[in-house]
Order: sequence, then C-alpha cells, then structure tokens
Amino acid sequence: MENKSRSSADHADIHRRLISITILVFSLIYAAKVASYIVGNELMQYVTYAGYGFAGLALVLMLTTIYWKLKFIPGKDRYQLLYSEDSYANAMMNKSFKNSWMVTLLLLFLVSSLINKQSSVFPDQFYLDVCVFIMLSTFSLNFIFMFRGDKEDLTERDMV
Amino acid sequence: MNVKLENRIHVFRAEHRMSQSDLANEIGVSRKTISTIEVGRFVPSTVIALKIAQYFKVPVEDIFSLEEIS
Repeated sequence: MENKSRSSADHADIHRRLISITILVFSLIYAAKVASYIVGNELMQYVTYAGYGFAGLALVLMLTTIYWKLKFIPGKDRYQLLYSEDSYANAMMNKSFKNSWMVTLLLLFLVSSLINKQSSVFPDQFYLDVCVFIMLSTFSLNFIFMFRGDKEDLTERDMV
Repeated sequence: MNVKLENRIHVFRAEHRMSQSDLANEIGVSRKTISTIEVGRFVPSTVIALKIAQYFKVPVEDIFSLEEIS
C-alpha cells in the first residue's frame, strides 16, 4: 500500500468505495435469506451461519464507513465532496443508483404478477427478498466495476 | 454530429512537472477524477474544466476541445 498523504477528495472516494462494499455485503445477507427458501435441511445450518457472518461483517463495514467520513472528511467540505457531481466517484454512484433502480423496477413488475398467487411455489417474502438482493447487488457491483483501477492508476502514468 | 471531448491535461501537467495527485490537490478533486478525465472516461463539469484552465493560466479551449468522430 502506497504511503502518501491523501487529500479530503481522495478520502471521499474511499468513503464511496466503502459504501459500495457495505451494500454488497448487505446484498449477500439477502442472498442467504433467498437461499434459505431453496436449500435442503442439510445445508440450512451453513446458510444460516453465512447470514450471521455477513450481518456481522456488514455492521463492521458500516461503522468503518461512518468513521472514515467523520475522521477524514472535514465538516466544512463534506457536502461539496460527498454530493457534488464534480467527483467521478459521485457521478458513478448516481449512475449505479439509476441502473439499480431500473433493474429493480422491472423486477417489481414481474414480482407483482407472482405475489398472492395460489400456484406460487414460494411465499411472498421470498420474492421481496429476491428484489432487495438484486437491487443492492446491482448497485454495488455496478459501482465497483465502474470504479475499478485501470492503467491510468499506475504510478508511471501518474507521474510526469 | 457525433463529437468526443479531447483534452491536453497531460501536456500541461508535463510542462509544469506535476503529477495527477498534485493537480487534483490544487483543483480540489480526487486523483481518480483527474485520471479519468485525462483518459476520457469522465467528462468534467464546467466548473472543474474552468478550474483546470484557471490553474494553468490558459483559456479553457487550450485544454479541452471537441473532435468529430465518424
């Protein structure tokens, strides 16, 4: 890990990354809930433990995210750094939210035709958990992909 | 008319012997923002474009230009 001082704007980018990873872990909690409806009794215990593990990890990440914001992003700059469209991270976060919203909306149209049907194999809660899983994972994976490191992050390109 | 935003930020950085991080700190954005603008992955806001031009003391058209693409 490079040992150079980071600006508040760089810390804001890290904060955005932490949010996306936290939301990804939350999506895994819902993945475990969805899996609990599908797996047999022999795997149920592992799915339950996985869910508890993801929940613990999500709590740690959430606290880390809050700590990062309070520690490294000065109060006077916070609104500008975290909500301005001038930042690549913020622009990609908004794009990821938009993509997640579109996918979730389409899924909800589909789910609304399945809920409250006598012939449905799964209970209504299953379909809602699937929607939440898809919504959270679409956002987080979208942002993580768009914020991936590329060759422009290599120091030899960065330096003159 | 299809156009693409081109920029010469890396040229001005080289002339001033600056890294992306140095320029980012001067402008008040993150290094990732500067690097994605340079490679064309991110279109900067008008404010950022003007801040960059103001920092290098040149008109914004000297740094950013529109190129037609087929």
